[in-house]
Amino acid sequence: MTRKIIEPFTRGELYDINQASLEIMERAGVWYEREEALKILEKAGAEVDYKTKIAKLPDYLVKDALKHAPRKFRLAGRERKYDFVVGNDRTYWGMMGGPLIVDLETGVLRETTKKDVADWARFADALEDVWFITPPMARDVNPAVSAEHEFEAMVNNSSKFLEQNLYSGTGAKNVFEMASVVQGGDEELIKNPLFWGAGCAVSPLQHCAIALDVWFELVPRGIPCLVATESIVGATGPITMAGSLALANADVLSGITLIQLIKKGAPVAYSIGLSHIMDMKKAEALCGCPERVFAIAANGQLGRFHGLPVWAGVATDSKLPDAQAGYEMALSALYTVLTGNHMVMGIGSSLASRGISYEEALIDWEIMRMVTRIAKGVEVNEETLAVDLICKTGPGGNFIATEHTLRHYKNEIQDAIITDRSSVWTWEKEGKKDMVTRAREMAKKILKEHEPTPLPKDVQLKISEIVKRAEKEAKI
Amino acid sequence: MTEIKEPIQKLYQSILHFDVRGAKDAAKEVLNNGIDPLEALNGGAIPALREAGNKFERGDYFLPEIMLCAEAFQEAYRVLEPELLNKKEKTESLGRIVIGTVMGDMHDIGKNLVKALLQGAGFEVHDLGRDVPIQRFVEKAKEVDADIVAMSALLTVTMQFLGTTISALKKAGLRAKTIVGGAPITADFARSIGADAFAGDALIGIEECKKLVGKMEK
Repeated sequence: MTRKIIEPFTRGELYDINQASLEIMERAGVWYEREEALKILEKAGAEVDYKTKIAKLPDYLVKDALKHAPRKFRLAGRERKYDFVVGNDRTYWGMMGGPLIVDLETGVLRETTKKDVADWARFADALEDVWFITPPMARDVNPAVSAEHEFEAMVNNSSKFLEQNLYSGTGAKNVFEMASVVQGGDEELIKNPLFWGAGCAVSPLQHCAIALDVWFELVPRGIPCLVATESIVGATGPITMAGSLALANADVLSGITLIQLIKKGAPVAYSIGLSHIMDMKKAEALCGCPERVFAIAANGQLGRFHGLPVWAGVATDSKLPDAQAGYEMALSALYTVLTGNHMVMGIGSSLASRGISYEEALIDWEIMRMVTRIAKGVEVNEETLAVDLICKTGPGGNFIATEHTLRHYKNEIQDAIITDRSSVWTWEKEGKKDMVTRAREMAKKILKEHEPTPLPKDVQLKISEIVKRAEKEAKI
Repeated sequence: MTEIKEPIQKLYQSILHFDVRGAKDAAKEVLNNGIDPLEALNGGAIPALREAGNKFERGDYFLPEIMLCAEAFQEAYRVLEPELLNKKEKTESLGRIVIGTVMGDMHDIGKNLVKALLQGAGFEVHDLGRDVPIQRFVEKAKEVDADIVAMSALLTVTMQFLGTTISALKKAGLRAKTIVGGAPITADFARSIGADAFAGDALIGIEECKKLVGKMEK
């Protein structure tokens, strides 16, 4: 059954937003920190000012680039059962990363470490229907090689697709080498990309060296990339949603245009689905407010408009796994799926989107399962209408102990995992546990019991050697 | 109490009501009428900015108003500045702050907010922009005899430069206190790099700067 998509923006509105973006890229231009990028754009027809580093992109350049970008592409785990196609007619969920964590044992807020990366990956490995992992940051290692350390910790603890943050061209090259060892050579890695080159524009209209270096390193090698923007409505973009969406769309399309000029047909995903909203009183960039769902909806819709796979992030402004986190995540997640986003990061988002929490992760996981069920909809056909059965049972009967129920109940009614559905008296008898307590107990159990498929010993060794080499090179 | 001269009143009103062009015109009027620019600053521009800061704290003003007030102030200051320098006189402020986003980091929206709020709180702020080399902080702090150097970083890969900049400031023997902030920064991290204060968010940052100057000997 194909999923039903809701479309808050009309086709005409999407067209207007996109036309505005094309005008912005042509009139204001876009700042690219690397000269190499400017040269490529100039050669393709852009008007470049090398002093200001601004390239004005004619609309045909952008439109032509979009023609070459594929509608969907494969991402892979290190076991084939975890491969998926982004751009398919479904949503793939992933874990949140971040620099902070609420310690599961002590409840203390602290900086994340390499050990947290390993635990988070192992935990995510155990969660069914979680398809990719964004690492917490390994803040106890040399920051020049944190990507290498994070990737090592993740790949040893999970077989799923790893959304490694990359902070330099060298880091991208090293992670490529590590992933190649895991997948069995460069060719195998390109067929089964275990990671991708995620780069974020610094809104408005800026592509910094960090993202550009990663793309220059990975695009020619055939590794897929993500172009995202974390624009802030009302701060780095206009307060009116339409203008901010047009600007964010320009942020991302100007990155995708460059990538297609580096290599025609390069697989690339699109994201304005990480945009924030400025709180004019608290001076904070918000993630969980209702206005943000428009960015998420526009992300799904503009992705389809351009013919690109889309990635989005959902997060909460709450600091705890509480009611606020619950409703913010549920509202965003529901909209994300119903508007047809393909990849969604955010399971375990806490601490106002600056960190992660295991308890929150399991609550989000439950939300994600429920939202997925809602998106699946209701099937209407002869079998599901069950008219014969109804007539046979007649007035006053019941349907619990029928073969028809047995055949369908698991598909029709999704089981709950940490949601409490018991009676008051059973709940009382079992210790009156609240959601967070149940989530904490389950998280501890998973971390105690789950064993991921180990990497072969020689692969483990090779990877750790690459990390050591990178450490040494970073010191020179 | 002496009567406040009309151009100064105009300056006060236009800054407080975030009329950027009005503030610029009022500043020109101050000079054209032969009024002491220092008197205009201390009697008009600075009190207006401070009142805007009060309005923000009370919840009458939000970020857009306070940031526009700061911009109006800047415009007026730019007009008055050349005349001020000739007189080598000091304006009244809570303290002088040098602010910037560290080397390698282009994320400066948070720093810009803090800058406006600091001006609203009554500080004299010298903004170095973003991607600021370590030595630039040192030079500017020395040049203006800064009370505080405020730095931001958004990325875990650039936050190390908060530490190196603080070390350079100390090595140069400057008296300025330091305050750091940005998404990945924690109080523990700020302490570990020897910062004197931690701006958990923009509003905490303003409070901490007030505390820092309160602690210092003038």
